[in-house]
Amino acid sequence: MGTGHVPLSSSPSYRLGMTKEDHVRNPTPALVATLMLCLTACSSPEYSRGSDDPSIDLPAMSTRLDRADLELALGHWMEGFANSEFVRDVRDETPNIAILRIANDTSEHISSALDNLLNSVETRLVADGGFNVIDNSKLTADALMAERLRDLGDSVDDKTVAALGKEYGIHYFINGRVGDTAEKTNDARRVQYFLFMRVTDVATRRIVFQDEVAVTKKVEG
Amino acid sequence: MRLVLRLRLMLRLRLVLRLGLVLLVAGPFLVGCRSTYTEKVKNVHRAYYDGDPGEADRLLDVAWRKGLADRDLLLLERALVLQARGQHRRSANLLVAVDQGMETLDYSREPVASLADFLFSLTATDYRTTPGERLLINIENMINFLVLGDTERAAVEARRARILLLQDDAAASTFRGAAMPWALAGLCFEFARKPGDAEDAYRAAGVPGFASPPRAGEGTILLAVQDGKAPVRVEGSYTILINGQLHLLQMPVLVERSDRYSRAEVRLDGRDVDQPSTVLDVRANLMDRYERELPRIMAAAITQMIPRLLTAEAVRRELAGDSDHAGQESLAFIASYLTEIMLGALTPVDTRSWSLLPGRVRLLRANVPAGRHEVVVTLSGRGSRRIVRQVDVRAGHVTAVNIATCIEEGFDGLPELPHQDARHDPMVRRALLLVPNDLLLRFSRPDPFGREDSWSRRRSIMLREEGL
Repeated sequence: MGTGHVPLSSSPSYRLGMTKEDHVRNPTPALVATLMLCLTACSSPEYSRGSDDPSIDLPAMSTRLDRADLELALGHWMEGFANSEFVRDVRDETPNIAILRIANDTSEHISSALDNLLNSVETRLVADGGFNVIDNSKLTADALMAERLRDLGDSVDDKTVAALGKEYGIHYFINGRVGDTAEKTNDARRVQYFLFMRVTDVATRRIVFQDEVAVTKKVEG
Repeated sequence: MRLVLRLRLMLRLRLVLRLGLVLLVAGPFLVGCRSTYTEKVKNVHRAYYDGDPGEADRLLDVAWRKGLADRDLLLLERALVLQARGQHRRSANLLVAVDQGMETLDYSREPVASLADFLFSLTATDYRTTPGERLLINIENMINFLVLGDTERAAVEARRARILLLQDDAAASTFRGAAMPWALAGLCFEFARKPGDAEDAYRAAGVPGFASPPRAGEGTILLAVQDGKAPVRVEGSYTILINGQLHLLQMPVLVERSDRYSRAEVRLDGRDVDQPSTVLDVRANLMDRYERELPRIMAAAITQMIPRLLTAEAVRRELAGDSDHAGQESLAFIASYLTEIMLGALTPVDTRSWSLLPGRVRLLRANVPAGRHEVVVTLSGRGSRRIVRQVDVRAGHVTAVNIATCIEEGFDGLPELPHQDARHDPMVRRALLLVPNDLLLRFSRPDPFGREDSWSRRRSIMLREEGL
């Protein structure tokens, strides 16, 4: 036997043709097999309903925005908006307002979540009754306007603002933006979202209301 | 006493016969059932490279319905097939889904699966993309979304690529040829109207002229030419001699494939194009990454060898028993070696990788007056091909054209590696030397002639030869 070679007698014994007594004396293989079977055993999927178990809405399932995040942003924005000086000043006028878009400037594909957020803001404004809400889908149905909105970037250009006032009779428009700072290490990824909402006066191009909500999501192994 | 010994010998011989019978009957069947990922997608490769991506799509769909652990990988392959067929929306959706799934997997704890994967090379564990493949998901999807004219989603992919590039840079293992991903990301930001992000990305790319915006009345053509074949993983089988005993070492080996085209020339509206361009050498990047991972792959291959060695040793000890009879000992050694070979043949090597990737992705940017333009790409090398596209350009917008010439490359079969001595493959030999000496000696069968640790001697010689 060569130098440095460890004899196998110090390792577990491996034998073919074990008797029942052998298994009783040396139950390791059976135990390992049972353990492996238990660990790899399949289980059928289990479905549940949020109305039966509200806790299923609570855990974060990914680093993207979920309903709890959107409700947090919506609640924060709408509360600030309702209590703003701007809303108090225009209460008696019922002006026309439209939500142009909520731009996705993040590293996550959350466009559909942002469409839901836009619809939720519209719903709240309609329910509040303080404004005449111009349906966003009416704007996006117009190909030229849809393209303008798609190419907005960080600000709304003068031509688009003029078209909103002239063609749709809009007095104020809301545009939102969600940005993020995403960082990643080998065992964790953190996404810090910043959700901005801004209301602009079409006539004066002045920003009359702006608010921001921060949401952080993290996944780690 | 003599009778007892004879009876024991007969019992052992019966055991050998039984074992031989089992191996004879079950072996070929099991070896036939056991195939690596690369072998499973062979027909997909044949259809794809022979210019029938529709058939490749169908075969991948069939495989996906059957697949378990390879499902995400099959989706990646399918995304490229769909892209080559011009179905960019479906391709993009698949890549987004897989990218998000992979992220969840990155941070999932699967100790049992990982351990099983490491020990037994069980390809039943979920496939995890390499960092290079992950970046290529974002690169392919930037191209998809730009072709679709969806600059906002292209910018999302650009941000995802930026995170990987910055992380890779921080880990001091920069993706070779990072200029192209940065330039592509810059273009996505530019047309998503994010000038600050675009400027940063273009600066990181350092491709002269790529950052020039179109003038008034002009638009941009982005031409992506994806040609060649990425290297694929195939099963490598090596013999190593430890303590005078032959052992079988199996591991995935990344092998290059030959290209039909080596040059791509672009003409725009009948004129040679002297426009800013950049190339991502996918092949070199994957080979580079594999070489850096080789010590880990080698360690896994040796760890996977250990259960085979233990089983083979158990067979030897059982057959040899307490006998001093030379014939019986020889028989035990042969049976032990055959057991090891058979177990090795039954264990599939994990050759999974994104195998339909192109060998290169070339990008060319041209700012042209708004209107219709003709783009002609001429490929030359072992064969030649001319591809003509009419492109409508709008002022202030980007029109992306993706030409996947890989589907015209032709299927030359999958590379096969002959079984060879580990010492004769320089890459394997070098990786083998990085493995701790004791690990191999501990589990090897003893030298049948009782010689002193021959592996250590040979290892010392190899180390000297390598200058290590």
